[in-house]
Amino acid sequence: MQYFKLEITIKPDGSIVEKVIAGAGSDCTKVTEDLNQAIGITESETLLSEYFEQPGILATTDDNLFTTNY
Amino acid sequence: MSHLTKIKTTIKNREVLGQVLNSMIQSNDILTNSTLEEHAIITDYFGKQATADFVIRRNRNKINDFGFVLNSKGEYEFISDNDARNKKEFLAQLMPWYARENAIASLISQGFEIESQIEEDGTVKIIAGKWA
Repeated sequence: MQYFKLEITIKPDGSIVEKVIAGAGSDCTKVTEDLNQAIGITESETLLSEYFEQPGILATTDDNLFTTNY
Repeated sequence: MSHLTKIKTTIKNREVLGQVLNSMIQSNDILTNSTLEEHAIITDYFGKQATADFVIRRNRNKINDFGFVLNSKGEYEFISDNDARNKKEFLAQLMPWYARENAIASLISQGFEIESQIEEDGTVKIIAGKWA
C-alpha cells in the first residue's frame, strides 16, 4: 500500500491536466486509469523520471556473464 | 511525480450533467426563466425535431432551446438550432463547470479524498489522495 496524491487542474476551457504528485512506479497509471476514463478522453500521457523508480527492484550486474573460466 | 496526463473533458455522467444544468438555470443570465426537461423533443427553425435526453426550454422562441443527446460512445452531445441565441457562451460556461463537478464526483466514487480545492483566474486546482 502506498499513498497516491493527485493534482487535478481544470482550465477555463474545461480541459484537465492531471499530475501524480506522490506515489511512484507503474501502479500510479493503474490508479488513475479508471478516473481518466470517467473524466474524458486522454490526449497525452507523459511519464516523468520517478515512474522508473520501481519499488523493491535493485539493479544488479552479473559478473559471470562474460567469464571464460569454467 | 510520476506522470502527467492531459484529458479532454467529455460529458458522460448523466447525473452530474443534470445537476450542473439545474445549477446553471438558477444562476445564469443566459438561462433566466428556463426550465429543464428530460427525454423531450427539441425543434429547429425548420421544424425538424429530435428527441434529446435533456432539453433546456428557454423563455424566448423554442428555436433557442438547448439539448443533449447520448451518442453510441456513451457521451452526451450538444444539440440546438444553428442560430440558437447564446449557445457559444452557454457551452463556454458549461464545460469547466461540468469538468469540475464531474472530477470531484469521480474522485470520490473511486475512493479519493479531496484534500483541497482552489480557484484562481478561472482555473481550478484540486488536490486529492488515496491509499492503494
